[in-house]
Amino acid sequence: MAAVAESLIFRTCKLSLNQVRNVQSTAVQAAAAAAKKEKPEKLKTFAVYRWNPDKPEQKPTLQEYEVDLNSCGPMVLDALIKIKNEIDPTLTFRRSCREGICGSCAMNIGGVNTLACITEIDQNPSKLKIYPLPHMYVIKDLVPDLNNFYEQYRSIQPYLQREGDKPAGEVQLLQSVEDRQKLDGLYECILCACCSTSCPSYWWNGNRYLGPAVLMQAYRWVIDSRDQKTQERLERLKDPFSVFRCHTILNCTKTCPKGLNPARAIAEMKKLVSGIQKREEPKMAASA
Amino acid sequence: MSILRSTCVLGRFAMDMRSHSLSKLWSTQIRVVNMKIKKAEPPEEYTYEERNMIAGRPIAPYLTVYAPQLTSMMSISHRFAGMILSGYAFLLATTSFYISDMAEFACKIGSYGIPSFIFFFFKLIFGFPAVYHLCNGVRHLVWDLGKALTLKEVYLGGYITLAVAGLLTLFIAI
Repeated sequence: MAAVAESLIFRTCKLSLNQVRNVQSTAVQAAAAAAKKEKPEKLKTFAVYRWNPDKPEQKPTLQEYEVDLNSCGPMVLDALIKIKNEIDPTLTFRRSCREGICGSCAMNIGGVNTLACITEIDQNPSKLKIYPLPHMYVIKDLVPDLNNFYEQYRSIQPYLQREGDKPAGEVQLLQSVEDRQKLDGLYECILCACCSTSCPSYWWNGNRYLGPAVLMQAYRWVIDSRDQKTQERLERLKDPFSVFRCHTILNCTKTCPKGLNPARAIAEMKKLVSGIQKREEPKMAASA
Repeated sequence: MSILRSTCVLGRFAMDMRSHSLSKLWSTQIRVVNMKIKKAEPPEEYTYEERNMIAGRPIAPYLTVYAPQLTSMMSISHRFAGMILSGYAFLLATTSFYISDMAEFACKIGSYGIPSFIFFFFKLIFGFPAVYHLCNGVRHLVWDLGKALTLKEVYLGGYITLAVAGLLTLFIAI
């Protein structure tokens, strides 16, 4: 008798439990369906430049990927990462900081050089084309070889140089507020190479013309009131190519993702190199 | 180094002893390795260009994919206008061999009774490159002084240049 009662209780319990489970699962499904209705898929096509160094005989191609913008972050870099994670793990690109300070994800997006991480995806469904930085050798997909660019940067000796001073690190070097202000808009450059690779002059003469990014840094060290090798720096640039291949096309200033103005720096640099203008004397002696 | 190598050979020999039967071991030949000291050579250095050529890397597309902008378009059209102007110089120089008096030649054309709108049209076509090159040339001179180089000024200056060049051409053609 007891056994029968027990089994009865057990059965009813099981039944109700099942019911609860069913109710729950339908509720979850309904919620999911509702969510789907709220956010329908919003597809956008990304056409991305592909080239595989393991198959060098194959020509570069544009590969298209469809991404649902409703399940994707707002920036182009978010879409690229989503493609790499979910669609095609072989897609190769550089990225690091995702906030526009490292310069790794510089690429040509929609025909303009910029950083993928701070470029918002255009919400209209038109196709977005993504290429590597123009006229650079492609290592793979969106990764360009920037060694020439870095070598040019090295050639301008981008560090403070003084004559017969105490060894670096022992005393502070003084600089007036006005002199320090001259470096604003120059020192912020992150060397992403967006400007240099947007410059037609740099496309044709990239081996001899230094390009906007490097020239702006050259200018930054020339006008630094604490630097004493101004003449040597200018002397090194006195040739028809290093500076004067700039034809004031101004693509550099137009494209800079940090809003800097390399074209103005080059114009000032031309005046200094040609001797039309002299560097202003420091307002304050850097060291006693 | 050579000592290390010889112990290595010995080690291999000992392993053979373990894994093979004795009869097999007698038939195994031991290779004698003569070690030579060679001066280290620096690795071959390639230039940036050579390294990329050897790797067969393509150059990323540039002219064909970069978006046309006021900046680059006005720069290239300035050059084209300059080329057209040198064409004019060439044309005028060659015609001067055949026509001694230009004013008389102009009067002669005027006497043919060609409708004025056709004159207007040709003046417009031939005049614009000259006027545009002049106006944009002034803009370039301002830039060379280091002035009007912010992005806003560059665009404003561009639109003004285009407008002035257009109006001036109209004025000349009328």
